[in-house]
Amino acid sequence: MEQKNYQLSFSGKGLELFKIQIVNFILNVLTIGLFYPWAKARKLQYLYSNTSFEESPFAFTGTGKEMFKGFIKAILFVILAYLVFFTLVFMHLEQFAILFLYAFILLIIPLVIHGSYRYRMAKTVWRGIRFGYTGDRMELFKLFLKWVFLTIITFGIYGAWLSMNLRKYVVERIRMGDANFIYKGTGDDFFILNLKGYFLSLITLGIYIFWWQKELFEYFVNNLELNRGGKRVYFKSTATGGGFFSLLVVNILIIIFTLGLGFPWTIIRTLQFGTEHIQMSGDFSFDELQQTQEDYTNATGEDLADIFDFGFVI
Amino acid sequence: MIQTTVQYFNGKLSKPYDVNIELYDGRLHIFDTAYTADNGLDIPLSACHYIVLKGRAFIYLNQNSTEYIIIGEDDTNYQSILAGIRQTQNGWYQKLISQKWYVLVSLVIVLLLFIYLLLDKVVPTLAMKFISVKQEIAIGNQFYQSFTEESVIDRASTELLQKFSDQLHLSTQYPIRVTVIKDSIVNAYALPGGHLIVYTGIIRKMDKPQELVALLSHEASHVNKRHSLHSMVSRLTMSIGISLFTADINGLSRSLINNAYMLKVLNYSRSLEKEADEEGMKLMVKNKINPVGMKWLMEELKKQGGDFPSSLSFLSTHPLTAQRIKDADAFAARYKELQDPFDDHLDSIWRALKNKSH
Repeated sequence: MEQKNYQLSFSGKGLELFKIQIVNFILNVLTIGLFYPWAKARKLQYLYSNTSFEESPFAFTGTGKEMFKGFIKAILFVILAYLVFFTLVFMHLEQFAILFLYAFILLIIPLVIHGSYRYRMAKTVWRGIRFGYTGDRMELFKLFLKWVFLTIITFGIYGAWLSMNLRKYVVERIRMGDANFIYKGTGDDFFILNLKGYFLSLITLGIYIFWWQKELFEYFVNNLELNRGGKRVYFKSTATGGGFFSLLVVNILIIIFTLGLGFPWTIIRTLQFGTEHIQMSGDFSFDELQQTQEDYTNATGEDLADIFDFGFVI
Repeated sequence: MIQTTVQYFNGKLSKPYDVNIELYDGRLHIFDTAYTADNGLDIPLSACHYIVLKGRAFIYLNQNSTEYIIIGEDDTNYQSILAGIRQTQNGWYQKLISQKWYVLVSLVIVLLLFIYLLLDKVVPTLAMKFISVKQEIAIGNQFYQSFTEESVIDRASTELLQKFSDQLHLSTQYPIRVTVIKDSIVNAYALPGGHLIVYTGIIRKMDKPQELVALLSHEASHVNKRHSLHSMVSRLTMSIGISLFTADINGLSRSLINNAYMLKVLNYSRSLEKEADEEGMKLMVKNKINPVGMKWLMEELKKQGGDFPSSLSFLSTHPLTAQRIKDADAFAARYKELQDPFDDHLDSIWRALKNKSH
């Protein structure tokens, strides 16, 4: 089949997102914060539905109710951890208490990644076809601990491999119907990329940071592929260092000069930049995706990610 | 109703099918174009939701957004279907989001003002009503414990100063208990319920016993007017409120709010100082002591480059002290007749205290 180009676009507007954030703020205040899960659902629904691929919008189908339930579970979980921590402090075992806290945060990271990907992917729908995450919780848990251990004994050097191994593990378990993603990045390249970025940024007094960012983005996008029965979609970044420079500098200026109120515009600008600078081509037919992924409604991991401010990282 | 042909995605395959749709009695009927009418879908509009993108409406037929149809703006059913779905969504959220942005912004401002008043005025005032003098004294005692725990108390001076203050009528409601702490800090402060903390540093700076009376009257007025308690309660409620309502917003806005609040606290504490100066001088008059002592005290401290003592004395600046001196001078001018010699007994305690402080 001939090579084809695919279209990704984002049509969100700053003012619309601003209105959503304002309404969310009002309702959050009136409910002393209990509206948070619904607020998050509204915001994600807006951002997803304004992202289209091949003229079809994405849909976020998670609900406030699901995320509220997850929120309660996540809070109980955190309270439990605090109880253990303060019991240890109370028993004058301060060292153990701090050790426990570090261990707790470390141990929940893989669980949170697993939980949030399962939920977020199951709630991402395109042309009626659900995404999915097929990773195994225990497998990721063991691998993650191994990678962290190696990172600690190498004084952080293994961190580059940790990031890439983790990214590869997670990305390659994302499904789009019956299609799957492939990630070809490796720790070796990622390590060199960061080493170069770090030293060039030092030498150029930080100016290189934007080009470093460009390379990190490129390293993610260019190593990504979508596969279905041997047919592929290849991803390519067209972002430039200058592009990152104007994106980030203008975003900072917007935040400063609007006293933070312009935050929604910076989100819109960032998503626009991201979608504009990902090119896709291949011999893949997007009319043939089949519904294979099940729905998954437990949002505990997603909410824990929010509580610990992990963000939605790959 | 008119039948039109639209694209339909069935939630099994990412491929569009042509279907005929018909809107009837608040329900959407969907038929396969190849089939007859009786084996299609029949979905109430209340189960649907939609988004509009580039002149096309994507109408999702279930919560999971797996099945949907696409209707173009030019479709004859377009307006009625969208209006029909909108009618079924009339919650709070829809009502709010359909407002203009400036209406929403005004709403936020009103809401924030309301909360501000609630936290800053209503809650502290209520708290003051519910906290009795007895409870306030108990709270003050607890604070006293923790405040003086790590300080060196000058026992002999404390005894002398207590004797001195017992000779004065400083409070009708609160037992005034003074403590002198060995420290070169030029300051003094009042705790809720009657504890006054005075540092040896400030006693050393004073020249006349009237200044000491002024100092005690000023601090006792903070106690009488429940200033410490009020600012404690309002700080507590405001900080809880601020942390609750800024949890969801970005760092810059949050730090702006915090700084605005610090300025407000500063302003508030200045108004309290002004009130304590005035009330303090009234107390002096009541004790038949010339209120000019307040002016002397301030001048002495200004000369020495120190701040006028207060419970909340951070960041108070010299121009401010100058204003307070002017006010004290104006007040004292009305009581020239109180220029009589100072009470002998008080004067002897004062001299003993002064000797101790060197």
